Amino acid sequence: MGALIGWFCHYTPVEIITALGFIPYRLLGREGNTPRADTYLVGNLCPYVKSCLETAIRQELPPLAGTVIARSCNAMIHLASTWPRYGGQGATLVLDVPRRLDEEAVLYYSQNLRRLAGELAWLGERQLEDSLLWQAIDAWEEQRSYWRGLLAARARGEICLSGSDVMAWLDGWQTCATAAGRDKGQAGSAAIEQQSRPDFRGRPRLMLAGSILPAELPALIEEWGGWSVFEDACNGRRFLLAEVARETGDPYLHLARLYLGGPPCPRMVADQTRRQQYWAGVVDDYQIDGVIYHVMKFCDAAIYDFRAMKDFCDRRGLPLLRLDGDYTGGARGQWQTRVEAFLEMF
Amino acid sequence: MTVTAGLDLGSLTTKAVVIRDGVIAGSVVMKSGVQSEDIAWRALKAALDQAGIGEEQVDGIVATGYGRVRVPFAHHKVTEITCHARGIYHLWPEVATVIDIGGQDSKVILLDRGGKVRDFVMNEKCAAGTGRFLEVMARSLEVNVEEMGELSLAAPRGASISSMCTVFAESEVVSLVAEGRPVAEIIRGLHEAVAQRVAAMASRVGWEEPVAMTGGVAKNRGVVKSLEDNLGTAIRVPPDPQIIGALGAALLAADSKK
Repeated sequence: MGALIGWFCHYTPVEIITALGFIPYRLLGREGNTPRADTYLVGNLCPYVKSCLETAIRQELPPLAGTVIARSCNAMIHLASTWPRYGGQGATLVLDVPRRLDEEAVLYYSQNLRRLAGELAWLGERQLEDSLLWQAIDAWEEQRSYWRGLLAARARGEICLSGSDVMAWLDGWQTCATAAGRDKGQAGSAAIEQQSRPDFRGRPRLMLAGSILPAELPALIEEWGGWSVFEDACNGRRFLLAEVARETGDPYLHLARLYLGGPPCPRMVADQTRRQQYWAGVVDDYQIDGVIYHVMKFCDAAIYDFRAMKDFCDRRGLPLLRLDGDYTGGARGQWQTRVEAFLEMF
Repeated sequence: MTVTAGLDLGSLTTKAVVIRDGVIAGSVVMKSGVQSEDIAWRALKAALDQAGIGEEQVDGIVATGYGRVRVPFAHHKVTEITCHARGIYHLWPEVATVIDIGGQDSKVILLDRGGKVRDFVMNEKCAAGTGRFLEVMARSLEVNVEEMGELSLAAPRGASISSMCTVFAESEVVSLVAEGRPVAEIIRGLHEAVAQRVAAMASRVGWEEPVAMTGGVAKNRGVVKSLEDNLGTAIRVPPDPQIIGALGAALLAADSKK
């Protein structure tokens, strides 16, 4: 069994980690307050980032050989400064991610990926051949394409998947810590197909959006009478990226295109047009009746993204609900009235 | 004859309204406690007694408010947003915006022409701009919360309250008292601060005229006046604004019987 490498942001190319024999392990934080992380990070910082640091300080993480921190937003930059001292385990490797998609950005990002691969190779005391990286790229793409197919079948109404099922399995897939981890996604999605599921047809079909979604949110929305049919979050559909033409030659260029060209995150401020096109496609393909946007407290990217979503929903005549959250699991009562009132509008 | 009841279990008070053929036959307001089910039952009984109606004659009960989930004898549970909208639509069908300031939260609700909720916005997880905020300030100023409205209307100007955080505002109020500012001016300043916050929420959701106000804070004429000044429009206040959520709940119970 390979050693674990922790990662946070979905712009982290897990292919490089697996190609070197490591197992990628996504850090998703913990439920509850973050008193220990608050000692080292300011109060008005992303609660997800603080939650992840809290798990490390409390030694609740499995042993990590290293951690890749994509410096993709302000909070992640702070985390990258704090983690080596207080995060505890293994090496800290940083990765800078551009905020736009064009050829310059792709080239810059590919160079950063190559540097990251070199640092991980040094950590693993092995060389990373391009052929090995291509194999990992193909293996991950196979799994992602399986998931994408499953969710497309869900959009067409061929299978009735709840958002809570999908999010739970995606979370499990991203945090898999076993030798068979790479196959867990496949196994998980197969299990989804087989298990008996509640029939949510007839309920309002909702798109959930935000930066990272609290794990309990889709389940709560479904408990209160909605149906989450699309989760636009970095721990949801965005993590599955989008199919791109298979290149030959430089695998790092391919990875840069794959990740920067995937569904854009709120942080891609220079890529807002593509984000709105992405939403429009989702609304049409998934027959969305309304949108619930989760604004993570102090996440500037999500706050600005919400404004863009509001304009989009106004143009499309779609009901939109904003929920504020602090990733502690303590907002249930506050959300319930808002979500139920929103659902009563349909 | 159709008899239905609405129960609104708020953070500070529990309200019960009984209607007979669409007309209010009984209504009560009680202090909320930790035993929600018990309070709800007592409020219902009191409203029924007032109406001279036996509990066996009740055709339907709808519970609303944050404690709605803890009323096992209610036939349906509906959020206070929908209930306040229904209550105001019953009184004034032409109203387009409802501002409800309760003990724990404040909300601005937009209605369509059929009285259906079109959009709404609520305050964040914070007591600022709520009845609780005014209650804490009243305690600091050693006045009854019921007196605040009249006192503030008598003040020639309002003291400037810069913080809307309940904790910080309380410190600010204590400092103003220490400086010797008249209590009435401080209260007026507090009302203006609440009104500015709620008016900002109303702008965010795109309020339209005519505007009505519900909830316990609507009984405070000082807050209503400040809100009117901030929005630049007259605000309609029902005779008993505190029971509009419960009235809406009773009406929804009656609607479900049609």
